[in-house]
Amino acid sequence: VSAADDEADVERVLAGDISAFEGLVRRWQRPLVNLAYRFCLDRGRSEEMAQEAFLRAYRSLRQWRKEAAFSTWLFAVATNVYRSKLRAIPARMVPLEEVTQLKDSDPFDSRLEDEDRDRAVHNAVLALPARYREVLVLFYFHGLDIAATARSLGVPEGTVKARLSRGKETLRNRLVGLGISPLAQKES
Amino acid sequence: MTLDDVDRLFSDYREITPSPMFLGRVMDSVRREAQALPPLAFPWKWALPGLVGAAIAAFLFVGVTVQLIAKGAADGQVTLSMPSGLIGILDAARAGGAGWVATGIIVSFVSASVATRIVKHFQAITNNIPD
Repeated sequence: VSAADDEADVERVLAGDISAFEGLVRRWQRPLVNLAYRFCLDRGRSEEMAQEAFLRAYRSLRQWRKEAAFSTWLFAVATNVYRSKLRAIPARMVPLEEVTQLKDSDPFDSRLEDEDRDRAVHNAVLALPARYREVLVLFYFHGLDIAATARSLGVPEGTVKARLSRGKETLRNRLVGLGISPLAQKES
Repeated sequence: MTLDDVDRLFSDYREITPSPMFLGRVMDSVRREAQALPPLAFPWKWALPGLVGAAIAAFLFVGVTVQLIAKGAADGQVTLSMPSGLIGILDAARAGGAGWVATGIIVSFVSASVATRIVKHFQAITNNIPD
């Protein structure tokens, strides 16, 4: 992805050529939809959220001051949209039957086991408080980049590190409580 | 389970591909947005004379009220020392119902500003964009 292409498209859009926005959407639709998916873990909803993020970016395109890359700004806009959506989804308890189903699954059916594990991990992530959920989602989405996570969230890197540590510990404890262990699955 | 295992679980996230319709839907919404009329700005240029008039009327209204109260307190004797020209203006304003007009303008202004603040507040929540 070329930053020059982004800048040229933005200039064209600001000059009144709305069709130039298509280039931006084409280049960034996959990352934005995937980021949204990591926030909500719902494919259909992730596209709705990404669509709203693009629309928000279009409305506030003049606010991009070119001090940072367009992608950095776009991710910050999208993160704000997703965070507000995420906060609308209350943290929820994992139903007991899902835990039972996971533990009772056929150990020889690895595909089913993987799906169960994914679902349980997703549920455990959704059950985290929003401030931990968003920092974990962004940290792994940005390839373990704390600085990029901090920029997307608009908070200091120290805050990201603290929330990350606390969030990972909380998640680990919950996953252990659900009987999920990647190492154990590898051995079985 | 260690924290590295948590890292591994997250790195196992599968990538999803946007549906073929996604691009079209986004562009449709952008075009709709572009065609929509921009929100009307408050016409300060036109409202300014009215606001100045309202301020003068409010001043007169307060002046008349104070005078009436003082008059009542002095049992029918006006003791406030005001220029005779201003008293004439006050009398004329009182006769023309300037107090009610001023009250109406003030109430309108306050309700408009409260409504504007409420709208701006909700816009700030909805458009929570970083600078």
